[in-house]
Amino acid sequence: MYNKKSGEIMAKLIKLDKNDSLNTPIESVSYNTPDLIYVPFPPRKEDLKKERHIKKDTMLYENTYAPVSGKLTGIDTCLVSNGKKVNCLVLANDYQEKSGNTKATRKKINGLKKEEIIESLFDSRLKEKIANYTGNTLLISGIDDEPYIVNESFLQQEKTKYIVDAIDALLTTIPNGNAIIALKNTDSKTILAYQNILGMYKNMEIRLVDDLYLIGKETFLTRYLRIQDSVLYLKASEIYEIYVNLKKRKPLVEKHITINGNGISKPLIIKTKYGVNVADIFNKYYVEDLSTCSFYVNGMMGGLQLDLNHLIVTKEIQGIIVMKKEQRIQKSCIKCGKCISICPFHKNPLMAYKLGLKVSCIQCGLCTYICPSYIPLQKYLSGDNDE
Amino acid sequence: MMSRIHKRIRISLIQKLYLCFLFLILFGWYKNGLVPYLNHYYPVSHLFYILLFPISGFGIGALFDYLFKNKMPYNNKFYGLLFSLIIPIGTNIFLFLFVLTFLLFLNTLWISKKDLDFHFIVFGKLFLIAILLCLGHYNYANLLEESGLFVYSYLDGIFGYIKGGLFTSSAVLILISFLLLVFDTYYKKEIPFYSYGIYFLSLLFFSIYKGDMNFLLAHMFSSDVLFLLVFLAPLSSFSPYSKKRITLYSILVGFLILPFSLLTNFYEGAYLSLILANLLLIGLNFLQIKQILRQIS
Repeated sequence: MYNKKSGEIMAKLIKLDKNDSLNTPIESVSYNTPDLIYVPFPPRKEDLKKERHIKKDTMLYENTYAPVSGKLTGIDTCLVSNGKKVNCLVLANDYQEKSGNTKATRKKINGLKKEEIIESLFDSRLKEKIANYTGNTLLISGIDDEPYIVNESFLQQEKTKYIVDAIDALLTTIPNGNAIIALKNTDSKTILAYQNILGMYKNMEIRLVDDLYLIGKETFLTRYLRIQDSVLYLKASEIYEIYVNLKKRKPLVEKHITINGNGISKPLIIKTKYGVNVADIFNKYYVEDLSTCSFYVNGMMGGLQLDLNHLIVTKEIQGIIVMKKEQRIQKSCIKCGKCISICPFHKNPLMAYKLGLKVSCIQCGLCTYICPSYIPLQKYLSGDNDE
Repeated sequence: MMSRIHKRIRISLIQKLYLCFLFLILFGWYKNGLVPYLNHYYPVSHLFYILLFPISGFGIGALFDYLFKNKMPYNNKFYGLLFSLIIPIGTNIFLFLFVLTFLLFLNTLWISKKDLDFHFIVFGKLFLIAILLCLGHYNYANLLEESGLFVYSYLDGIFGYIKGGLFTSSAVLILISFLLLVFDTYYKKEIPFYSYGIYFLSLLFFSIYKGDMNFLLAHMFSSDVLFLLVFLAPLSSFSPYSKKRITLYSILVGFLILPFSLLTNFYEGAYLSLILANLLLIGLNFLQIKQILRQIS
């Protein structure tokens, strides 16, 4: 499975020992009628004009668009997926869905020039990424790295045609361009969804990868696929965003989040707008008592254990894993060294744990996952050791 | 503390080690207790005598864990049991209990507290041997083996009918244990692999040099060496964890076994090599920490 040619770093990736009792969500629901929307804003007081009416899709700040139409009613402090508290504008939904964008939908997006594509995009990071790319390989990761979160997979199954159209549109701007869609070899539904369409596109191919944790990250994926040249790496969800931007000429103001875990009766994929209070979603879809559960925002591996109150949906949020609280006694380190050998970047978590040194890392959570003594090493690496 | 438990709970390494010990104890009791009894070398009161060592070792360890509220995965119960397996049969039970109590005090009050890598079990065995030599009770053979009336074949020796530690004489059982342990994520399999490889090569070269290939055959399955390499050398608490140090440690242990065994014998030579490698590891750790602290300040 591991090839030396693909680099030493690849040997570090492992297949996670997943909990079989956690099911993959198969049902999707839409939550599009929140009463209030919270829009994180940069601390600039001059931007605050209370009681201002906002139309849907209107740009509020850079890369931030109004997900609903309504009135700005004030400011509140909310929690985002990285655990930080941010100030948010509170937008009261008027349920009119009046869009501030009057541009007509494009009939077809294939054949657009690179400049037109870049101009049509709403996210400055995407614009920059595409504008700066000069190679000819488009690498699309359709992989959900976090276990029990299946947003990318679900989106691809649901929007296969649109994603392929957007890839095709991007490829027309790349001379001799080709696209590689990387999928996990265990994701049979997504593979099948693409296979039904891709026959018509000569310059697109599916490449299957093993079900290894972190394989969806650009560094590991390019090494695994042995791609030597520079690639334009995009997630399937970014491709879909490009499709919406190009076709509808609107920003994407909603996203899928996975809710899974042994603390809830039914795992769901929820399509919701940015800025929705996550607690509202739970109140609507889950009647069970969740007071005895822990909430892992963005997964069990790289996510954070947060309180759901005041947590809002942002672009960075992928899902919430609700787990029944299970006490495990943290034991002393037995010096097995697994945390070091499993780290894909050869970091030494023991230096942070034992000597209190600052060790920078990507917070993938593998050290915590592998530790037989249940030491939350991830916390020590982030410099916060009070879990 | 809340743990991010989402993976399947599997049998832990320590449970596997206990399982291996159980089979070794059963065989040791059969070889050193039942067989001599059936051949009328021991009275019936002696039939279960040797089982007192692992039972009391485990019991004293449990008492220490209870008194000092030890929550280490590798706790005093484990060490008490482990120590009882490697002692010579000539050890008096009271002497065993005395040495074990001293070792567990050493572990609880100094080694665990200071988070040292000092392999006190290996040190304990060498300490016990020194006492036995002084007392003139140094003896690895049971009465049956001492009588010399039973001549065992080479294959019998591999199966465990040979002089050796109280419960460590079966090379076959140790190798089966190794097969059980080698697939465990937390078992430092590199240590027995590299060490045995080096040990085997040194035996081979020495046998060729001596022109006596029987020497290789006689010692390549030495159960005391195998037990040390499979169970004692890779113990997490006393072995290195970085790749480079594991390699260095393994090579050193494997390389020193033969010279030390030739200097002393094949029962203790391996223990001397391990304690030397262990002391070197402690020295390296000390220097590394000192260097890091200097860099910080």
